[in-house]
Amino acid sequence: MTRLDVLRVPLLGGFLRWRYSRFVLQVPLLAIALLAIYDGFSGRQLAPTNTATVAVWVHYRGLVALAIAVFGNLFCAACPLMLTRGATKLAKRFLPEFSFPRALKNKYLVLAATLVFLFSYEHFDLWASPWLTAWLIVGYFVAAFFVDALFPVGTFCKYVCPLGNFNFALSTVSPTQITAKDHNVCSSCEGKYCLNGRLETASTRAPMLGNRAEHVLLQLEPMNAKPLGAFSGCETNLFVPSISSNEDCTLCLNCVRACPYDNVALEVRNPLREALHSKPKTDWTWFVLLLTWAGLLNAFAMIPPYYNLANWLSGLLGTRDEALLLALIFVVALGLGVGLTVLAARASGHLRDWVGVLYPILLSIWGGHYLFHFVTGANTLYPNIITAFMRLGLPLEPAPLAVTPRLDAIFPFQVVVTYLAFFAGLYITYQKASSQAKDTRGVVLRMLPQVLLLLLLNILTILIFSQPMQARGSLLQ
Amino acid sequence: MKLSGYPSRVPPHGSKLIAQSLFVFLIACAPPQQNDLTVKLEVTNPKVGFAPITLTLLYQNKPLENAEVIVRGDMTHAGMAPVQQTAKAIGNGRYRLEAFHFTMSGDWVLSITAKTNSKTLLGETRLGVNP
Repeated sequence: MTRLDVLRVPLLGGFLRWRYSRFVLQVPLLAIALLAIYDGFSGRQLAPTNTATVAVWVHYRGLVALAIAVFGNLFCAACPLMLTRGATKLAKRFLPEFSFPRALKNKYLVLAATLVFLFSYEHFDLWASPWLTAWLIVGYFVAAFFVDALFPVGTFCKYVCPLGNFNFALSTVSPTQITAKDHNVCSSCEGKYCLNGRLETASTRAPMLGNRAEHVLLQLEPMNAKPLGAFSGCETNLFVPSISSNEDCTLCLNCVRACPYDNVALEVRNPLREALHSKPKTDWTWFVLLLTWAGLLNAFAMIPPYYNLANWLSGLLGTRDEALLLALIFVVALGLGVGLTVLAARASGHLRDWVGVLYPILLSIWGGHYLFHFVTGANTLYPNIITAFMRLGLPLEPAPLAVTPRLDAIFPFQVVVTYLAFFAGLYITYQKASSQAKDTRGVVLRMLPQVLLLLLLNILTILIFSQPMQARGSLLQ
Repeated sequence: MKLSGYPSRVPPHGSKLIAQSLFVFLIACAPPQQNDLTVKLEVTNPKVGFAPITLTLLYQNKPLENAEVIVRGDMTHAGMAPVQQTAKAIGNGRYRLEAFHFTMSGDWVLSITAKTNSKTLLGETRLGVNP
């Protein structure tokens, strides 16, 4: 039995089940993406006054974290990159389709791409360049098109997209998850339609054609009332009854529409359930570890001690090569953080068993940082959009300048979020230790390394958030 | 970070050369900023907080007199609160802000909008603000 099913909520549930709900969500984001590309290429090259930089680095990131915390992975559901699917289908008529290399069917490529992205973000000042931000958006569209044109649809989301996998990682503590209402229905399902898609006529039902193996053709009873037509299955190859986490779920809700038995729910769950009970694969574990410490590093790179460290390193090594210094900071900071986490996990047991402790911290670090920018710059998007429209020739009046007082008030909120994550981590640690150890001593011994790690992460996060922010374009004075 | 203007002691690697060439290529194609004004900024050791600043505005190499000058300060990073104040003319193309509020340390861009009887002119200048 499922708990509260969002798909049963009046109006909202009806909208989400509607075949074109995803398209309706995608269109506004596509419009903003196109405007951002236009403004990024042709508008004023000052980040706070350009739609590209404001929309991407302020609003998109802030709203992603907010949506994931209060609902789920809405931004993958509304991802405009997936509107390339029409062109992808067309291209597949002319291009050969390859199977994605087996060696890359894991999260290591995403991990590497995320590292490259984070390094580029700092080194090339992506946050300060509308031009490069516009190129980044174009690059994403091009990559989504070609990857899904040359490989099975969904490959981009699952194995390539750093943004999507970032969303998957943060969604480990979101309060909703796709589940099967009744597992008995799934075990007797003849076509695994949630996975394979469904082709339904008035008298027949079959899994959709494609590269999927099962093709069952049924003669249906005439009274079958399920909608007729073609319904795609899961783009990332998830089989609903085996879903135990939000990993790889884009909330496209294809499974909901493809299931002829109305057996798929978007369940409201305990946000810590995944952290408590799931045991992720090794590649996912490493990805979460990297993202957690990269989140701290990303926030650290916006406060004065980061620049002091860079200057100290520069003097110590006798170099002013910023790429080298940045690479060193990346390697040492991420290496130390990941190394400490691995040590703590080994002291408590196995790494994969304990990575769930990091899930709430992961969201609090990235969310706390992104929400600072979002709250501080929330009202800067509208004037920029109006300016871009005016340059496009629309007869509009300039929007008044959005002047926001500096919002130090966000810090207490960041502290609350950080401590919530800390206590959630403690709770997860206790639950895991209790389930693994036979006596109190065993529980304490398993908990101790995790508690120390959580304390370290908590102190570092609060220290970073408490510092005055500093936005600088060059690493060295 | 912007690529440092200082000579590197590390010989460039092939991958780095490619990355930097690509970066330069992309930047080279970026649209130029329209600046009507030449702006000279006078400010002493700007730090976070309030600081007096003086701007000398030249239009077609001549001091711009009797303009209504609005100065907007932005960080180079999107998502930071802008600061906007009106400058007071002190003669000979110079305009003064007694207490411009630098709310954060880092790289600032001051965008100048100067309105005269006949036209609106734009200018820009940059400075670093210390913690």
